[in-house]
Amino acid sequence: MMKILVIEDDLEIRKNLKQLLEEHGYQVYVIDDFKNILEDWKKKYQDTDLILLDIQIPYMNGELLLKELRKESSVPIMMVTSRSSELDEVLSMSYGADDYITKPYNPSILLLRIEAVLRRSKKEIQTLTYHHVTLNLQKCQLETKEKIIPLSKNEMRIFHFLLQHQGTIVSREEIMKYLWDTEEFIDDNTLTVNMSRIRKRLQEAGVENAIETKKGLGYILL
Amino acid sequence: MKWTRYLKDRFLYLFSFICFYFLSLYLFYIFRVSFLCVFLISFFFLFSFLFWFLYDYFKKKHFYDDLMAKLERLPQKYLLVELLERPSFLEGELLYQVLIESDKDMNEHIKTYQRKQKNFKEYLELWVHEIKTPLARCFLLLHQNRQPHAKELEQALMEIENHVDQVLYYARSEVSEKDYYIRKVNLKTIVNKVMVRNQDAFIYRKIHLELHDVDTDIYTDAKWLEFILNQIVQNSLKYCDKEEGRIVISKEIDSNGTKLSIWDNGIGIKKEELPRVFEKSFTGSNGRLGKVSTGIGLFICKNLCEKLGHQITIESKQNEYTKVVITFGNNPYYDVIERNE
Repeated sequence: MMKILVIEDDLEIRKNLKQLLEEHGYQVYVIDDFKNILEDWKKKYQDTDLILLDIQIPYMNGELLLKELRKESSVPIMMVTSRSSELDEVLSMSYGADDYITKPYNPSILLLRIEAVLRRSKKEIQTLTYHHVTLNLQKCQLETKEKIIPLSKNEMRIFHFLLQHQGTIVSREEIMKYLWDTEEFIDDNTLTVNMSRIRKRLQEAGVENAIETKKGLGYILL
Repeated sequence: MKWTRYLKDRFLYLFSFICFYFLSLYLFYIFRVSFLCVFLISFFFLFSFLFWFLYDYFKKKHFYDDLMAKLERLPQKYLLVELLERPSFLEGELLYQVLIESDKDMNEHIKTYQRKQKNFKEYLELWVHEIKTPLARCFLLLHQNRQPHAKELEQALMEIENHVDQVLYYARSEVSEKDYYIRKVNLKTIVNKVMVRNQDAFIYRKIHLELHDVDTDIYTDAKWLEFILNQIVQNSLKYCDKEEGRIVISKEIDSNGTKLSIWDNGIGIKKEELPRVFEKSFTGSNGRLGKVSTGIGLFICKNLCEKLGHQITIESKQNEYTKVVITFGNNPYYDVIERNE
């Protein structure tokens, strides 16, 4: 399980962020005492895979902390800030941040960015399984013992999304929003086309009637 | 300075001199002073008088003509005193002193306002950053707890965020100091961000987005441009009322630079209102069609574009389309940056 350290001074955000990240399968550490972050990190949190760092934290400037952390380690660091000038971003990146996101952020986009940063840093092949079918996110294909079925980028993303919500109904809007968050600006018709293609691909892979249409509500992956 | 004006100013002086001269002549005549003596006295007298008169005239003419010429030519009139030679006669000296004093006072006056404006802007920036933390809190909370009105609340929050941004950028566009940061950025990255931000309007209102290839590098401040594009796209979305709402985004590269156009088939703008849409507080008839319009968005866009050195133009046909074009010029200065990078 990937471990994320959250350094955020706003109590409410910290709590909700922890909950959000945990729900999406991360193990979350939070910093409650901002006096000795660096020492705490050295002692307890050396093994984190990613640090979410707010620029405005008590006692110490986030940028300074970023610099200090960079001296010690190359752990991916994502800066979170309410400062929205271009110069702030350029500076943070030059101090060694891996990504920079401004408040108020869209939580879905935050999750996507975290995923992207982790993917870049780990380089391990990410796969998900559905029955006897494996979804290979790196190679963008469905794999079974017998064959390999290539998917288009959109097909893969939609299937990935359905797989994450397996067993629950997801609306067309939710799927579209997910795709828009990943900067794939599809419309209604394209979604319909993609859905029928995914069904066909799954059939090819030997899974019949995997996706059910709930009229007026959306789709469900059984 | 004309000599007639100069003489007119000294009329009383001349008049009394002439009276005095004739009186003297009369006295010389009564006391039977020799003609030669009278002639010589008159000659020296008139000669020295004329000499002094001309000397004074040309000295003043030189100073005042110079003053007026500089005043005329100088675009920043308040800098006049910096250019003047220090005059060597009393009135000139006084004028010079007065100018210096009033200039100094004005400078201090302006300084006070600049400081006030700067403080206010700093406070605004701070406030905007402060307000974003509770906003982020709300977004997270809503995302975590899907309440019945989550979508409406999210919509309202997004509107608040947008208004807050507008305040920030209004302050930035009005202050003369430079606080943007121009570098090479990818246009597509910025356009995509704006699209992601406005996804709800596209998805729920089923407005068709036609996004052409905008993958090109330009020189700009990414954050500022994101704000500008967001304003324009939101305008397009707001006035896209048709059944088949469409927004087309495309780029074009020619000898003048890169042109990004945002086209929509919304209600358009009346021809007579078109030249005024970038004016502050101009809402036009569309703004009064029951849509909330402050007439600030495009005004800020125009200001920001001017600062960044981009050109923004708008064309429209009522009930057919509106097209906003931003031109990112080929500035030779940027080539220098490029080479140094």
